Amino acid sequence: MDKRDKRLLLSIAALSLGLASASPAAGSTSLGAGKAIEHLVEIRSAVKVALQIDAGSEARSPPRKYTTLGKLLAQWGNWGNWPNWGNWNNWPNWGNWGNW
Amino acid sequence: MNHAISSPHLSDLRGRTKLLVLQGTPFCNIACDYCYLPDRNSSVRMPLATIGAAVRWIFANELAAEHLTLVWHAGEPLTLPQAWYDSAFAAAKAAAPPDWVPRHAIQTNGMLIDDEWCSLFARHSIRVGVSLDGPEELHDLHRRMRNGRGTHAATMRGITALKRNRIPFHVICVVTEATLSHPDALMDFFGAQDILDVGFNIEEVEGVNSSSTLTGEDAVRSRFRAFFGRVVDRAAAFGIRIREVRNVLGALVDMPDGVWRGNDQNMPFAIVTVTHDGALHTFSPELAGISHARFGSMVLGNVGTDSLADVLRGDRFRSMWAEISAGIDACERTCAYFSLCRGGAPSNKLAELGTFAGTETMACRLGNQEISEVILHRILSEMKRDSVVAEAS
Repeated sequence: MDKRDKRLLLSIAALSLGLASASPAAGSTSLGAGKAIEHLVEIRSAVKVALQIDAGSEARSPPRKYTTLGKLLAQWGNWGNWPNWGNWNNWPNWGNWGNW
Repeated sequence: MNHAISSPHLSDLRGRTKLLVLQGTPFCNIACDYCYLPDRNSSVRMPLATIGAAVRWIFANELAAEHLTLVWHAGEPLTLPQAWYDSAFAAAKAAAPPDWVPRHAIQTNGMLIDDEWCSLFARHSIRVGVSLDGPEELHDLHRRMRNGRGTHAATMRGITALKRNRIPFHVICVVTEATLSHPDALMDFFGAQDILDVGFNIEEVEGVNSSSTLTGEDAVRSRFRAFFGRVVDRAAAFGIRIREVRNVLGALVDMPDGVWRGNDQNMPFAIVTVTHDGALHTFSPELAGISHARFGSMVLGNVGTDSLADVLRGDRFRSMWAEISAGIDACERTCAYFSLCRGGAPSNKLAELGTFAGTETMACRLGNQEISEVILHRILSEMKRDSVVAEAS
């Protein structure tokens, strides 16, 4: 795995697990900072490359340090359909109720 | 380009239902001022025969997805007796194919949870969600009893019982305008309580809740983005997993298929809601029980009398679907975030815009767009950092 892909994968995994916040881009909390959605194609591409590479290595011979990440990736595959009302099956990712 | 199916056929819907929402009772023992549910004073119960009919309806119409979850909601589910649930689950099981493995879930205010309830949760492997808006000063602003007293202490007693009995649970926290000023206090509270799975629902305008403290333009939007960014930062200090973060990441890697471009709230029969009287609803569960000037009630039929084919032929379903479908298409044409949210929530569109055919709502701006911006900015930042490192080395 390319070092950059690996680093991105680790950052994303940590972000999703609540283990790290990743570093916000300078000024990203203000509306005038530019919209990240304009970079969606390149973000999606980079994320998918990182995840697919890891998923492949997981399938062949799970590196011990990726065991948790492998499980995470398997779950991510079922986590579409945001806003996610229906995904009550992927504990604990469920329950996007209204005002409860 | 019209990506939504124009008129669903029975075969299109096979295996599409992931979630069956069952209203055991509309009654709620508290009176949150932002609640969208009507009829919270009614203590009627869903008859056991209706539970069986609802489950049978799903399977008889071949709607059930591989993993169908039954969620007991649309009222405070724990105001019903525990013995009622034993009977209700048995009725559901009896109405399903023999190989069906039931998955039950409950979303509760937590106030009535004790060791006996925990025993029932464990006995039936029930997934438990507790509604908790953070520390007392935030929670009790809106989540009060009918006499005005706060409910935080009782909810925390319920959470203590869950922990004592090792019942896994998640928390859903409603974010109001007041919450935006206290991200650190909020997350420090969750961290201190060892609450590690949290979902954030913005205070939405929907159902019978006709206003939100978050309504406003750029000022609220900017504050919300700063709030959520700080929430993500503080989550990392405790290892708190945030539903919205994973939703965005999941949407990044999971592309929609070619036919069903929408999400679970705007695609027909991905979610089915059955109220206590057997009335059938689909799309956003928040539509159940409300009435609208143009559509009337949102009831599409009854599990005891109407087939899926009847529902699909009905004028109400057809008019709802025509608008919802048009709304999805309009979102796709006009919104950069479409591939992440896939057309928004019909309940929000109807409540905020007066039509299912509309596009952007306050719920979209905060709950989808700003949350996406926070997460995407962070990923982009990591990507840029990598580029800098690569160029330097």
